Amino acid sequence: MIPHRVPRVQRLGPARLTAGLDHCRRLDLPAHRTVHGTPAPRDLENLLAQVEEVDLRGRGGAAFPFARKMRAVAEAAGARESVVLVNAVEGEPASSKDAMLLVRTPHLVLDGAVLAAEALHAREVVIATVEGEVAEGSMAAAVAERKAAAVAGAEESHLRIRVVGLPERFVSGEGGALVRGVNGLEATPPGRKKRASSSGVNGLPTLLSNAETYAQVAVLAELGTEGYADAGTSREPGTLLLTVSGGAASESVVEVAAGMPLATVLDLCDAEPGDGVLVGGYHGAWLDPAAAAAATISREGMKLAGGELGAGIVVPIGTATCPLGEAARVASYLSAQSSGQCGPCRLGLPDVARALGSLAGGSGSPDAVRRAVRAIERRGACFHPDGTARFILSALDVFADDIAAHQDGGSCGRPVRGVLPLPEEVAEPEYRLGVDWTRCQGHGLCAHLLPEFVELDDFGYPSFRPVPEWMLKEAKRAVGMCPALALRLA
Amino acid sequence: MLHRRNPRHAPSKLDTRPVRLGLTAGITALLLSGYALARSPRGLELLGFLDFYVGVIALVTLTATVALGLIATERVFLSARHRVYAQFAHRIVAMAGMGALAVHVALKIERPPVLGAIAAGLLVISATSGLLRGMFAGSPQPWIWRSLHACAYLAWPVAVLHGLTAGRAPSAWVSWSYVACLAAVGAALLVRVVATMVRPPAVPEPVETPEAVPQTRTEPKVTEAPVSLDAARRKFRAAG
Repeated sequence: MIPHRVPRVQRLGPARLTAGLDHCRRLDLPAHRTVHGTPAPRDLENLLAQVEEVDLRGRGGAAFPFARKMRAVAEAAGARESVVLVNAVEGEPASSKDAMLLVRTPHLVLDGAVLAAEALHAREVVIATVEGEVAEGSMAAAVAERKAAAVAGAEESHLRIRVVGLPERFVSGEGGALVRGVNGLEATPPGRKKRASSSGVNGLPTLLSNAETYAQVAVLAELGTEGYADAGTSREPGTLLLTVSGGAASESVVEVAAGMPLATVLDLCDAEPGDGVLVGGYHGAWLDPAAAAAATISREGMKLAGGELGAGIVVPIGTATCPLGEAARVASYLSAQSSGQCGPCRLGLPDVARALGSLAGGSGSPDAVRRAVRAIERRGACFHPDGTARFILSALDVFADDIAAHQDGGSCGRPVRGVLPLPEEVAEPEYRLGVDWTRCQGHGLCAHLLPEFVELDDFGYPSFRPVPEWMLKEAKRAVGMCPALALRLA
Repeated sequence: MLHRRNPRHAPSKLDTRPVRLGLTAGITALLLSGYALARSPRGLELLGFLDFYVGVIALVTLTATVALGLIATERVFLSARHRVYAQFAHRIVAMAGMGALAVHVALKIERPPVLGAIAAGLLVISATSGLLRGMFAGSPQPWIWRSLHACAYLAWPVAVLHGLTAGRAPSAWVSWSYVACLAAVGAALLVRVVATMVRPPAVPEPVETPEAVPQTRTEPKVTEAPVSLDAARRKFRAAG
């Protein structure tokens, strides 16, 4: 499989995850084996020792030590079976590193997952990805390539590998939601937390981590601990993937050795920080230009600068757009992405988005936004409300000048360009009621059943408004009850 | 339990755990209760009761169904709201009636009387068309639905006849109330059919306009006075 368009890749430092991607769009199995070799299977203690020595952390945003997670799964499993689950559902619209890995070098992710699974004696490897995207097709093709190679006599693992597509939503990437989705339930965060390491896929102990983490495991197995620690800092060895987008002239995934200055990365992508740089995605924080200029790319460096590295999302906003308007757009997107399970989140997030919107319109105040934010913090089953709160509070701090301009003049004079990437809105389908005028007798039952969408004229004959999808059932009932069999739904 | 090991990842509303559990429990309960009915003395008692009365229940509910269906088309006395309620009631009672009929048929399947079989067949046609009403809405031939659904008007009198002739002899008041029902529905039906047939063609009402008064032509008055010197001379000559 050769994908038509692939995410662009750049790098600062050695090529590890992105090795071989300069010359081809996707590494198939033979190309992958040429570039990365065949990893030798190793036992659990060996793998754990390596992972612990380089202090490999989860790359999905929480930076949980991978070795601790793996040990927990091994202990919970005991003599039972376990499952290895790869989280490649990138709910974040501003992140494309996992999609890049799955589309361009899927076998690296598979290598890492299979290594972990064989060390744990796991039953199967499950790759959870977004339904209907190129990444899903590429991963399915990679699994098929492996099967074909095994049939042809190559030394491939016979472990079962399953690719599961989940609907794209901001919250489906949350661990609990992912496990629920893979188990065939709706991919929403569960109300009571259960550790995936004790009960995950099909109730078995599950090693759940981000796609990049598994790719890092494969790289670690390929290079050994010393080779792996050649790049990066002493406390955070290795490289990491950043997704740079937004005001950046060239949108790309950048492989960076830890410890690089953020400014260098922005230069590489021809980006100017402008009014601020968002790090860590839409649950992350804004850095003001001064902090962004001094920040370095590592968990520690980002924390010093006042942000959070998270899943490696970097969005410089530039100077051409109204930052407050951009933040308001993202806030309304985030409020729409609430799964609606927890009341404070379902009702509070739209309230926050409205407060920010009226601030951008010149009528609100930062205090009103802060009040609204206080109502949602730490009040949900998942991190969604807290992450949104962090995004908005840091925006209020970093864009203080812009807010002052908005409060004085109603606007900062710049248009909202839509620099912060958001998924395209899908128009809600609308249904139209039609009537066979030669049959209609003006009984008026439709107007009684659908008073909001059917109006009767003075003679008792109907005229219709488009019916939204959530009223479809009622509309169908009205069609079925028309005494003259004249009403129909188009 | 009905269970899918590798779930399909376009979960429909029906393919969920609660529905699977409920369905499994329902089927099990139905099977077990059927078995228990057939084996216990209490169950046999209940079966005997059903055997004796469920036909009557079916007939009464289906009578109500026919009456409600007819009422639901009435436009003179009922508002749109009441007609909607009548239609809902018609559907609910019809469901109950068909359920009772199913039990009745199941219990009497060994020796079906001719009249009962005819009535049941016609009713099934009518009920099916009622369920599929939405499909006929907007179709080019609505009369197909009407004629299929009108099978009920044939089925019901046959069913009443079947009820009066089969089984135990009915009391006089029962027979009289059925006759009254038949007469009432027949009369209403007659009114409906006649009203449809004698309805004047739906043409736009003539609109009154001010009467047009045709302009009468007035003859130009011939003036005696000469209009020109020439005319005066001619006149003079003519006069001699």
